[in-house]
Amino acid sequence: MTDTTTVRNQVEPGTETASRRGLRASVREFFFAPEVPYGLALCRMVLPVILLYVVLRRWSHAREFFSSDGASAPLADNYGYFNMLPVPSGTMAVILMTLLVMFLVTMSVGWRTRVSVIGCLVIYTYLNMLDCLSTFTKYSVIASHVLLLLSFSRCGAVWSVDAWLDRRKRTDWTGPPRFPAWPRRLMQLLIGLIYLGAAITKIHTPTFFSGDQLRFWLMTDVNHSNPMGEQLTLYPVMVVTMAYISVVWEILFIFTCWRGHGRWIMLLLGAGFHLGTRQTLGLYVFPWVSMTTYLAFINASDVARWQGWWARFRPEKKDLPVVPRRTDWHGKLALAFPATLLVTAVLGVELEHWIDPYGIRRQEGPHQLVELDRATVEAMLESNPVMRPEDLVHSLEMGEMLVGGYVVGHKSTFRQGERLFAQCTLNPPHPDLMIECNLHDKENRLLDRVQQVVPRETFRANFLYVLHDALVPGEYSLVVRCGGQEVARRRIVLESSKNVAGRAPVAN
Amino acid sequence: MGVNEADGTAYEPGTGNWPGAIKRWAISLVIVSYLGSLGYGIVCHTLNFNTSSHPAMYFVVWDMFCGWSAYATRLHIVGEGEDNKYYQLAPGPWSEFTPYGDLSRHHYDPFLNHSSHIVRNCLAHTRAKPMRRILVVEEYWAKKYNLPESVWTRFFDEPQQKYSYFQLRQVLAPNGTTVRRFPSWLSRQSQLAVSARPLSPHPNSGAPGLSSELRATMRPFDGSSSGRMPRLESGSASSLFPAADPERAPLAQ
Repeated sequence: MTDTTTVRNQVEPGTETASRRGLRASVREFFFAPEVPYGLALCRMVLPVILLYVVLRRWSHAREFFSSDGASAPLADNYGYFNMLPVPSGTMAVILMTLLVMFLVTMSVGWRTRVSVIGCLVIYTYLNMLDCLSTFTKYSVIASHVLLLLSFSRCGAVWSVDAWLDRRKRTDWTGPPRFPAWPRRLMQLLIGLIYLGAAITKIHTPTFFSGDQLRFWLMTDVNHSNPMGEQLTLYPVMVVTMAYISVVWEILFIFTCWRGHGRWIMLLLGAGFHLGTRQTLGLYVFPWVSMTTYLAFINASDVARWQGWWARFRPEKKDLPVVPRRTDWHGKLALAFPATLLVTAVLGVELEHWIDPYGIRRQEGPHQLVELDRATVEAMLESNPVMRPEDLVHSLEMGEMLVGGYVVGHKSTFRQGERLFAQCTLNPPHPDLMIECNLHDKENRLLDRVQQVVPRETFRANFLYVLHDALVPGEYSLVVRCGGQEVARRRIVLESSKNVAGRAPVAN
Repeated sequence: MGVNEADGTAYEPGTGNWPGAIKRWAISLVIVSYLGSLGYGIVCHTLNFNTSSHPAMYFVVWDMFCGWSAYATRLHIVGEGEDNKYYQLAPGPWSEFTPYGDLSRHHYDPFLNHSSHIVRNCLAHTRAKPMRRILVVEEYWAKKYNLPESVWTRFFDEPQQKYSYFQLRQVLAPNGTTVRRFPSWLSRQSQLAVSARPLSPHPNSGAPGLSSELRATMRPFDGSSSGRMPRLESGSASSLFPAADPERAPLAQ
């Protein structure tokens, strides 16, 4: 039996309380330490520019994508929550979209920052949720999170029109104001948790670490063009390596991104990762929205250091004559913001009416439907739905060794005595298959037949040929057959062995 | 402005700064709520629990890599007019908008939840002839045909000849009402292979409860007599396919 008295006496009086107080103080310091919100100000300036690219492209389609006068596609419908959000009329959708453009501009320059950020948050999220086909994606979600956190913050306190106006009003201005750090901390935690969630997704995804699914993603063209990704499919070992690195980085990020070298290493790796997805996966907006959150890792000491560097190159300011400041315009400026919004909204409605997105008011009347070729449509309806054997095979690769389950050292010319690894990659889903990888000579005579059962859960069949001396130098072919039908063929050239060429004849 | 506000949250017990204390509590509540919702999303995602229970879950579940199939997909929305001609109903004739690359908007609807809205909108804003029915046809091809020639020649000696499979996914009435839905070609392939017995037939126009107008839109896709319906039952039903990995909507862009 345990002597509880003894256990209790092992704890020094006051130690537990002290450690608890220490944790509380650390948490308080973490979230509530006052600081100048430089990082959030940078977020406030950069994010709207990125979102403007997204929003302006869709502005003229507002009626079609977000209104009851179009074909809105509410996200909630996909979850079975029909009519969860009201769908606005066409004109109202145009007004909201126009206001969103205006709010993004004013947010970026920091004019009426709090109102602008809240306006962006509400309108952007609302409209996005009305179009899950062509507007709402995961980068929209991240942007909404960032807007939410910016709306809590005082990101307009520096580097903004608001800050400039405030400084002009004050006579006792002593420096940029400081606020608790918690919105910035939440933004840092947000991106860290996003990466953690993404890592969990990858861990859940079957065949992610084998590189199979990543390879198929690299050759997917539902996003922008990604020629580098298509070339990367030639190097699956590199793809697998990158898959492991990305998961390790995503898990480590939230633990190591806070200070010192870890912060810069993680952020630089992240920037490289995101810019890499632009080249390999064709993602254009997602990387920039994600990297915007990295600006939350910039703190006041970074800015002070950069200002010091900049001061070395900046020409010294000349003392300008002091101009007496007028203050009577402050009252007028207060009305300028709502007036600007009102005028912009009216102009937006008028412009959209003039653009006539559906072409209803054209002289020749509404558009005619595009007629399709009858034979083409009927071919669609009569197409054979049974999968062709050649479509079961994704690739046939030849090389000199296997690394990580993949053929490397791709080549089609071998020497006698070398080993030839042939790998037949299959497209999922496929049935249990009997695959042959046969060696044919130049006259297409079958020299060697190798068969292998490939179960449904396997995506690759490997075949090893030792090109021994009995094969005379010349041209050969590797022929893959599936279901009794030839589905792939690769030509190989066999050259004489170096040893054979230089070997002296044996004297009898 | 700011300095005072920052000081206002710096509450210390015994100072009597109650507004600052209340503000501090409110902020703490926001922090806990926000981190709690993010944490809930991570837990649900990890345990695969409640991830699709509400649209709000999309804001806290980070499933950016949810699997990609070996086949590329496109959607064709075709109207069959009463004049016996076929018309393209998506994209609308007024639009060339491509949201994420060079694909039109309707291609990003793999579950066909919004095709009827797209059809209605197109018919409402064009000089459309009266329609007999609307067909949503899915096109599939192996992604290896997406590879450029330089990569293809590293895999095959044969020339690259793309081959597409088509599958009728949906039949809509002229007013946009969904009349029939069919599984995707890829999942159908998996089902055919897994099932040792013939799969149950699709519902046909003889099914009870259908009005004569809707029934009329379903012909001639019933049964095999028309010869136009893809004969899915002719697949090799004796072999066993693994479950297909359906390609999700590219919401992770």
